[in-house]
Amino acid sequence: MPNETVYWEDVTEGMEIPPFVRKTGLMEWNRFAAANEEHFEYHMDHVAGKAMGFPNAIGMGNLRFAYLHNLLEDWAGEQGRVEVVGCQYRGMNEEHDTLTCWGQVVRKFVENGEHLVELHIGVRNQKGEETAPGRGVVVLPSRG
Amino acid sequence: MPDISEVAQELQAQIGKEYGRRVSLPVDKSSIRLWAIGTRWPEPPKRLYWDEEYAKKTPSQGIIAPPGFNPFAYHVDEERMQGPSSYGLLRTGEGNRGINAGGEATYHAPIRPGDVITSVSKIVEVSNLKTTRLGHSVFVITETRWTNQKDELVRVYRGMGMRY
Repeated sequence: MPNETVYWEDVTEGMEIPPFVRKTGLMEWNRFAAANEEHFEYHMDHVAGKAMGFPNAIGMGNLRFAYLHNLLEDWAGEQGRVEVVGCQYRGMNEEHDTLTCWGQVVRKFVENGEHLVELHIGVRNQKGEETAPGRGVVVLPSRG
Repeated sequence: MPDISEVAQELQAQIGKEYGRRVSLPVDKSSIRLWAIGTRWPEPPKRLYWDEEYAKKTPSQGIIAPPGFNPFAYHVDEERMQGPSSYGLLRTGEGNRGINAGGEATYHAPIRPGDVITSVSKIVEVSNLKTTRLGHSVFVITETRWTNQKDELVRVYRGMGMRY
């Protein structure tokens, strides 16, 4: 988790932001299920997952979406804020996957007096497969 | 066997109409803490989401919910099955299955403990019939707007679902 405040003026287009990484499995999925009331058997039980045609139980798309929020939130810090988070689900989150949420700055702009940064974001697994490409926008503090 | 085109027609007829209006119970600190833990495990949750004294000294001036927080979890709601995911569910065959293809959330006012969130959804777009790996499919885009008890906009979510 980054501790230093990132200022809008220090951001350059093309720069990558620190990743948010999680190895996921039943422990992570069950904790998220408890928070989001997302108690589907195929997220909790390998037999149920196989019955649905998956390799085993699989993780929630909503958890990857939450991880992408964490990615942007960690970078923006408490002086900034997350304005937009979006993604498309393109692949599954299987047990023991290591998910790396990544972000790359594509645009800096000022709107209604706020200093904003738009990023390409996504969630890659340990095989390098992109499972949830998307877009984010954060508001960063400005040195004025 | 019902044809997916019938499901598509039902969905298209609903474009622009409100469905699934929900009003949350007042958001409590425990739900916020639970979300902060569940989305960040095994790392500890951020203090902003559970330590009021700490949170008061931040720009948020008090505990807020993390962006992405769902205020409708464990809500007692008789209308859960309303909306585009329900159309065609009483049938068998094409069009009665659906997947969440993704979406984009835009955040405005933060959610604070005690807030009561109203959610209103509508279908904004229904695709023509397409052929995907899963067979004949229809893509449905919905928009869900959340407002708080002060009528401030909290979040707008545009979601894409696929029926097949």
